[in-house]
Amino acid sequence: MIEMNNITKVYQLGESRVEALKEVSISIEQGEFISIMGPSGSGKSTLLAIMGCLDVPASGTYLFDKKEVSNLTDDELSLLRNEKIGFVFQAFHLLPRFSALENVEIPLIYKRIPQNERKERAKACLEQVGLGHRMGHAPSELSGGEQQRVAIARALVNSPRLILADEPTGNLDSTSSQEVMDILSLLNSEKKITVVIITHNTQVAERTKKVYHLKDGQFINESN
Amino acid sequence: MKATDYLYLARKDIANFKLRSSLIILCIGAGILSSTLNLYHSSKRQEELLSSLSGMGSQMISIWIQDKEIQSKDLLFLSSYFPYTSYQVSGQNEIKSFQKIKKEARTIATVPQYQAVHSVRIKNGRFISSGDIKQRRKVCVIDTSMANELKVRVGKQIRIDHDGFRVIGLAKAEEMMSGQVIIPLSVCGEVIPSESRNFEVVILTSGNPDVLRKEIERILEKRFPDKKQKGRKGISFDNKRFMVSTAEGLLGMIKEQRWTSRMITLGIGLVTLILAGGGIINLIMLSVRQRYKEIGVMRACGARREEIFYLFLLQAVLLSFYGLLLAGIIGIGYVGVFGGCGFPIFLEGLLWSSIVCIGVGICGCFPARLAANISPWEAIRDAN
Ligand SMILES: Nc1ncnc2c1ncn2[C@@H]1O[C@H](COP(=O)(O)OP(=O)(O)OP(=O)(O)O)[C@@H](O)[C@H]1O
Ligand SMILES: [Mg+2]
Repeated sequence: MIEMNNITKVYQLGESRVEALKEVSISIEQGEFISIMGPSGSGKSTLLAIMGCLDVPASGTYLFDKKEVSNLTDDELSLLRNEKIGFVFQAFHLLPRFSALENVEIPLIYKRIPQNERKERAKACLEQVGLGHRMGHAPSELSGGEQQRVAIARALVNSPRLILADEPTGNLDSTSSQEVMDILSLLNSEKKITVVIITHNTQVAERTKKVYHLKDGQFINESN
Repeated sequence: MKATDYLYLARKDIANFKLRSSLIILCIGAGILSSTLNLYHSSKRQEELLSSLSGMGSQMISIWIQDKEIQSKDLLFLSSYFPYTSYQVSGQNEIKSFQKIKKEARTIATVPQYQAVHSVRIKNGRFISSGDIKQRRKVCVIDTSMANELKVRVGKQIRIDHDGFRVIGLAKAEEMMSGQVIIPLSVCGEVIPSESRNFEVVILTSGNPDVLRKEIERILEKRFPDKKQKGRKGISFDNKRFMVSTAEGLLGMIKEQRWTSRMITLGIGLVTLILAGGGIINLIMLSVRQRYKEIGVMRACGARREEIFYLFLLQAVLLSFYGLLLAGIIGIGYVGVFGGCGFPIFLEGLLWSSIVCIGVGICGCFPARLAANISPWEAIRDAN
């Protein structure tokens, strides 16, 4: 499903050059459940952003479903993100002025789903993550764990093929972390959604089927 | 994304900046209202000028008395130079028949010469006579179409404000006479409110009107020298007490007035555009900055560039639309209360205002473009 070859990413900050990714190659099959670990600044988030088509690499090739991503227009990339990729972030990134339900509806709005169907589908997803009773609440009225579950519901509402999670449990206590990981592994095992998790937590990494280690913008040995 | 969703999101943002948004709406509303009302009022004045022009052949000279202290008796000497001199004091009044039919009309208090100067044709009864003036009779002449509207005949009474007047003659319905009630000059003091009173003398001549105009001006200037008034800072300025013009001159004045009123309207519109446009750019910039992270999240959820662009542009468009709505409602209310003769002009003003509004809306394009060009990853990363 994902085929990355010699991906590099360079940040130019005035005089200094930061090579965030140095010729990284990785291939991920449909239905895999993997985690990426590594020290701070090793380039994990940068890799995830490129994988999620939020950013473009300086060089290298990236095939998503056998299609070269760099050939796609900005609108096509938006469509790809909308239909095939769901994002979960460490800081949840819910829209503060929207209720939980409205937050989950957002990807459906951009897919032009009619309002009634949108509400139904968003409700179903919130129930799936165990938040059927919190639909009208604003993010500020929810706990961190609940907010992250809303974010997961938003990520999966469009039935994506891939979920990218950047330290999804980074801001959560162990119970909430467990809940979030339960949901993500269930999505992987039941719906065959490919899940990529970035984490610093070995317990989280242990629950995935494959762990990659990134250091200074390069993968070091890969363990199962 | 569908139109209703855009509206929903944009409204949420406007609600988020209540104070600033309402200030901008007020600014647009006030600007549009004042430019439109300016157009409306000046066109009302033009109509007055036009109505005095409509009864004026090319051989006429009109003297507008601007100084309220000058009265008709001070100008009676003109009749000895010109046999066809009509003294006219006019104002707005409410006319009521005894069947309780009401109508706004222009009341003109005048002398018998009016009939000849303006070639009024009487169908029934007679015109105002010198006897009516001497005896201060409460009589009036109206045209046949107004008589039909009020359902009155010669010999019947009508009310001008609160005074009863007997109809003594019906004039042929012509443009000159439409909407006018003619009464004897000597009773004007009781009927025509002094604050809205216009005093005009119209002279029909056989000579060259331009030469005569200069002659009359010279005579009047001798009799009524301009008062030098002291302004607040001690600067004296001329205070014209009268204005003498020929039909041709009057036409030129109307044209000039039209032009200046359009220019003033344009000017107010432009200032509104600059102020409100700047305000809108500022407001939307603020909203873009505040929602920097959210824009990134929306893009991650599949929002296309143009969808972000239209979302912010719509905010600007909505704000200026609300401003237009505000001005429209107040303006229509105003025109409704203070007489509807300029309603088409008012609509024209609103049309111009819509152009201003579109301009203001277009100002929203700049911040909206900025928002659309935000790189999604940078916005999300920044917030982490
Ligand atoms: N926009 C940017 N401008 C400059 N340098 C950047 C930018 N984004 C990332 N970097 C640099 O690239 C490197 C990799 O950053 P990245 O965010 O991918 O690290 P990370 O592995 O996710 O770290 P963390 O675990 O702390 O989240 C870092 O050295 C960072 O300073
Ligand atoms: Mg990171």
